[in-house]
Formats: sequence, C-alpha cells, structure tokens
Amino acid sequence: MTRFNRRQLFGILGAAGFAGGLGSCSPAGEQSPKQEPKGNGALDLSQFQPKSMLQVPETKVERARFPVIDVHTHLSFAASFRSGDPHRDEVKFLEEPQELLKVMDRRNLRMLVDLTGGFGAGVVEAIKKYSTAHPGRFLVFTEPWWARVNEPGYSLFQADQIARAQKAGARGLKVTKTLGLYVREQITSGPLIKVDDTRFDPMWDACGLLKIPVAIHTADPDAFFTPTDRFNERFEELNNHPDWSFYDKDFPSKRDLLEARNRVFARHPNTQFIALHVGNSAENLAYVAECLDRYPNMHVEIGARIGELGRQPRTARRFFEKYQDRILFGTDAVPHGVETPQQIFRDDLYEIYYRFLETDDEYFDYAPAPVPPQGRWRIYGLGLPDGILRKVYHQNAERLLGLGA
Amino acid sequence: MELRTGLRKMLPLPIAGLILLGVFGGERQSRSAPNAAQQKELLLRDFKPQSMLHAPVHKVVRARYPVIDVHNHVSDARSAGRGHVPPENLLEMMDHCNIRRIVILTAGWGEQLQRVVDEMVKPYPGRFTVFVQLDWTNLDAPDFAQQMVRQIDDAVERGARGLKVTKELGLRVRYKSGKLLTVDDPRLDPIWAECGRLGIPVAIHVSDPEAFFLPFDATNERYEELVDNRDWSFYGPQFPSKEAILEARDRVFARHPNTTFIALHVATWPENLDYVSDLLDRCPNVMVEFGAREAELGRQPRRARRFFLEYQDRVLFGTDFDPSEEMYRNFFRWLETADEYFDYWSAPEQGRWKIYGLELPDEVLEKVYHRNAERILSQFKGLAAKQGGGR
Repeated sequence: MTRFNRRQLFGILGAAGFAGGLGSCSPAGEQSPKQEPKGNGALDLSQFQPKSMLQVPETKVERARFPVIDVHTHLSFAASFRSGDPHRDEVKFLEEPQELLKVMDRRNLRMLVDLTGGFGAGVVEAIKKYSTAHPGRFLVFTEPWWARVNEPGYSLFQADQIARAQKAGARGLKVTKTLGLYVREQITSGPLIKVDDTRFDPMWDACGLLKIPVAIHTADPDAFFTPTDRFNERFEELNNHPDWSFYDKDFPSKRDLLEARNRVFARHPNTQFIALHVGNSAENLAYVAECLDRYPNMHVEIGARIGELGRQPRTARRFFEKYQDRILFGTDAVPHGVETPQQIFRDDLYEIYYRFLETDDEYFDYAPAPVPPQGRWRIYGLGLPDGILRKVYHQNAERLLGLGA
Repeated sequence: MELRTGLRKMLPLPIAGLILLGVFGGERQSRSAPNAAQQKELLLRDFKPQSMLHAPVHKVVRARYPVIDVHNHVSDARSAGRGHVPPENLLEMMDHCNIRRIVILTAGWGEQLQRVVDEMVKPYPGRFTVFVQLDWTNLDAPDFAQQMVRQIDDAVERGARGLKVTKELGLRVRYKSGKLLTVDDPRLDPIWAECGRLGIPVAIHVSDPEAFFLPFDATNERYEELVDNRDWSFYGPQFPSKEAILEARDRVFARHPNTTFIALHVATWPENLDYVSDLLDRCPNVMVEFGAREAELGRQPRRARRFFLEYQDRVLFGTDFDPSEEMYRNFFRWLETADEYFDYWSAPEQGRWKIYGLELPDEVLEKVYHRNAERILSQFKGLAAKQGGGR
C-alpha cells in the first residue's frame, strides 16, 4: 500500500509548473504594488480555499438510519409583495413533486414540509399540488397575509384565514423573520411591527385551537447584528448579501427580538411553537436551553444551523440528550437554490445532515461548497444514539404535526 | 461576480430574489444582489473573525501534575541576542504553572553548550536539561561520523543528556558535490549507535507539515504561515517528498533498536495519526512529542484522544514555543479540559481553524506531563558505561 496520496502525487508532477511562480516571488520590500497580491501574501479572502491535510475517517451516510420528516423546506413561495398589490395571493412552485420524490426515496426522506405555502388561494393550490397529490409525502404550512396588517379588522381576518387554510389541509403556520425585521406599520415604511404585537394574538390562538403548530423564525445569527467588517465571522456571507445585516439602522437588538418572541410563547401556552434554526441562538445553546425550560410549548428545529451545532459537538450533544423530545429535523432546503449552498435541496445536503447527526466524524464541511458559506470553520459529528435519532428524525415531528406513527 | 450574475440568470428573477431574501420585500431584492462596487474587499491577512459562540471557558492555571517540557529553545546556544530569558524569571514562571523542567534542545556543542550548561543547568539542579546538536560543516570529511561521536561524548561530559537533530537533515544538508544527505545515510550510523550506548535519546525533527510540500497557493491551508516564512516551503523538484524523508527516518529507527528516538512534532505527521500509530507499533524504541502540533491534534480531538489513550506510554509533553504562563496554560487547557472551539497557541499562524480539548484522564496526563520523559531521561548511562562496556 503506497503512502503517497493523490495530492502529493499531483504536487510532485506539478512541480515544474510551479517553479516559475516561486521564482517570481521576491522579498516583500522589493515588491511592486501590482505584483503584490500573489507574491506578498495579499490574498483576497474570497480566493482562499484551503484544502485540509487531515486524514481522518470519512463516513458516507446515504440513507438516514430512520425515516425522516424534514419539517423545514421551501417548495413554493408567495409572490405577493413584488406586485405591490396586497390582495395578490398566488404562489410560485419551485419544483415538481415527482422530482422531489426521487431524492426523497434515495435519502430515506419520508416527508417534506413546505413551510412557505402562502395564503389565500395560493396555499390551497400548494396543498393540492403537494400534499393532496402525494399523501404522506408532503405537508404544507400557511403564512400570514402580511400585506394586510394595517387594514382594519386584520386580527380577525388573519385568524379566519388560518382556519380556512387549515380546513383546506394546511398543517401549520409559518412566520418568517419578516415579523420583527421587515414588516412595518405601513407595510414597507413606518416603524417596524413588533413580534409580540397584540394584533397577532387571535392568529396565535387560532393555531392553538386548531392544533396546528407555528414554525417561527425570529431574528438571525448573532453575527448579522454586528458590523460587516473584518472582525465579523460571517463577513463573506454578509458581504454577499448586504441586506442580511441587521446591524444599526432602526433594527431592534437580537435579544429584544427574541424576548418579544418569548412573550408570545408565554402568552399562548396552548399553541405549539417550533422555533426554527435552533431558536436562532445556536451560538448560545445555554440560552436556548433556558427558553426551552421556561416554555413547555416551545420546540426547536436545526435547519441551516448544523454549522453552529457542529462546531461545538460536545455542548450540542448534551443539548440533544437533554431536549431529545423537543428537537425536530429540518434543513431549510430550497430546490434550485443558488446562493446558499447550505440550503439547496440535493442528495449531498442530506448526506451531510445525516453524517452530522449519526457519525463521530471530525472536521468536515457542513455544506456542499468550496468555501464554508456560513463561516470558515468545519464541523464534528454528534454520533447520536438510535433512540434520539428516531425522535429527531421523525417521532417528534409526528407528535407535533398530529400524524399517526 | 460574473458567476453570481450567471447563476441568478438561471432562475426567474422573482424566485431567485425570494430565495435570497427569505420571502419578503420587492425593493430589498435589488439590494440583496450586490454588484462589485458595493462589495467590500478584504484580504485574508486582515480577516480577524471574532467567534460568536458562547462556549464554556475553563482556565487551567497550573498543570494537574508536574510538567517536563521536552521541546524548548529558550536561552539556547543561539540566544545571545534574542530569546534569552534570565533563568530567575523563567523559574518564577515555571513555578506558577507547575513546570518542573525545561529541556533546551538546541544547546549547540563545545563551548557554546558549556555556556548554556553553566548558566541554566548547573545552578538549578533538576530544572533544565540540554541536548547537543550535530555540526554539518565537515560532512565531507572521511571521519565525519567519528568527529560527531567525539562531539557528542564531549557534550555529554559537559552535561548534555540527549542529541537534537533538526530538519536540515533530509531537506538541506548536502555534500560538497551537491548531493543531498539522506536521513538514513549509513555514514551517520555510528552517531545513532553512540547515543544508544550513552543512553541518551535522539530528538529528531525531519520533514515538516504536509502543506509545506504542496504548492504555496490559495488552496494551501497553511498559506499565511508560508507567506511569513517563505523558506519553509519544500515544494519543488529540489526537495524529496515528505514520505521519502519519513521513510528514511523510519529505517534509521528500525536499524538502531537500542537507541531511543523522540520523533518530534508527533513524528511530523499529526495530520495522519494512522501512520504515526503504525510507526509506534513497529518501533518500540520510538517516542513522540507534540510541540507546535497542538493545532493539528486539537482539530481532530476524538482521533487524537484515542491516540493518547492507546500510546499513553509513548507520548511526551513538548511545546516548541517561547515559555510563558499563557502559552503553558493554553496547552494545559487543551490536554485537560473538554472546552470547544478555542485558539491554539500562536493561532492562526498554522491555519485558520480552532481546537478542542482532549480531556485526558489523570493517569494519562501524569504520564504525558512527566512520567514518560522521566523514564527516557533516566536511561542515561554516560561515558563510564561506554568505557566499561567496550564495543
């Protein structure tokens, strides 16, 4: 068995080609500014794609150990605001169910939950396309009709919309970070509407009465609330998406947003809430644990946060052990996503999630991308035992979604 | 930027925009597709990301057991102008951290070595140890090995307790003809044999991190380190491969079973602990030391911990860094705690990653901190044994 690996073999073969490059390097002081980027180590961060030299076990997990319910996907999107017309309610579909089912069958995905099913006629259409056409394989959540929040009678209208959607087959309500960070008193202008604004109380209560959970995304990663500068650990992500930054301007602090969310949890104890993205505090699991202890109607989902969980595998594993009945599997996957590789609905995305949950592998990428898109670090598997895997993969979701096992 | 634009064109704009944004907001969409002018530029070397993780921090002020640092260069033969620390200051720091002894590997030879012995070893019994080095100047002399044997004997008489071999061997030491001296050149055999007879270990560092043998470009995980130390790159036809150097070294280990070797820097292949394990299985006369490889081991804490448990009698504590309280405490935290995602000492010099504690059990800690080193250093026989035993 040779001890050469491919890299080194290529390295040796490519030696002649490199010699010219090395020769052109001169001591820093003699460098002319134009040549500096290569010779003087002034590498642009975006160009840096370090390959790991570590030779550690690599476990490929093509199928989850138990059937999976992915409670956080986006198979459709409401088109409302683009038109500027608050009464438009159609949805756009991102992929045909037949195409999704192929990946699902390969990856042992029993069911996808399309959180952004829209509202009004749109959500009815989404239900027809996914869940009615393929029973047991898809569920659809409805969304609030944000463009009407400033209309008189909105509160009851919204509660009624939830009831109608539920009757049509919607199995939950999705509340995006729109609430708290985007929607304003005059929809796109005026002061931001707070997460615990009382006009939404009938909406939360309706979900409790109808026994459908609320999947809620409030705030965002800590780094999105700090300046986009060279000290920001998610600099590249924010630099690529400047409006993901909620630093300064008139945005509330992250803590204020989460506390407002928590007041909603407290005020509606009969409504079950799924706090998406590990309650958006995956960086601070002690805080999430505190919230879970305080609000028995709170649950969390892990979509697009295995980067955070996987860089603290010991803390994360303890968290999974303690809250094994309150954690749901989710990915935030979007078919054909292009700019967020950690969320593209593809076979390799699920392999990474399964590897993270099931194996003890070390130092691997949390997204199928040349550069880790949510911060330049690598992750470690949790190696969860079967009992916890079963709960996280499907049992907890079945309970919350009212599905027979 | 072109790629991004291209990708955006592959999708209908509304959908692409919605994906970018979550689900909301017409006018915000245009802002979420940054153009080149809007994007800030940032050089890798200026990127100093602050972790947002609220990870527990356990400070270990004193090592759990007394420590022997078998890999240091403080106040060594080269330290006349720099790196020299008055021994009283060192001792105070050592006492704060529970460092019993520091091994100064690069004490040179002859009068230089005598100076280090006189300053560091003699006045403070039990606190410092020095190793002798080889002088390659007369490599071409027919009796080069005999000269080195005499140099080693002389140093042992002056107080040296080991031989240090630097990575110049295998990478840069050449005959006058230009031919590279290989690590396993039989001409060196008398040197290795002499160390065995004297009962002194050979601390040997040959080759270097794997990344130093690869092109020095944007895919090199030690890019910044190589930028700062250009002569650490061993990529190119003028250098042997890393494997060739290590295999030559390992042949020396096998050929001299009565000599104890300390393969420094985790046998210079911590990136591949399977290889190191195999080496230790094959060669019972080999120990490893982890100086300046906390970064490599700490980014694979599970694999590294298994390695420590399996080879707990073969691993020595070493740092290869200027001694300071903070440096030692960083190593203690790494060995003793289960802390996650923290900086290795000198980060991010060796690569942009964080490390995890190994949380070693007490009995393993005790061996690694001092017992293994004590065992190796107590094998000393010295010149008397040599003369008495003959050949």
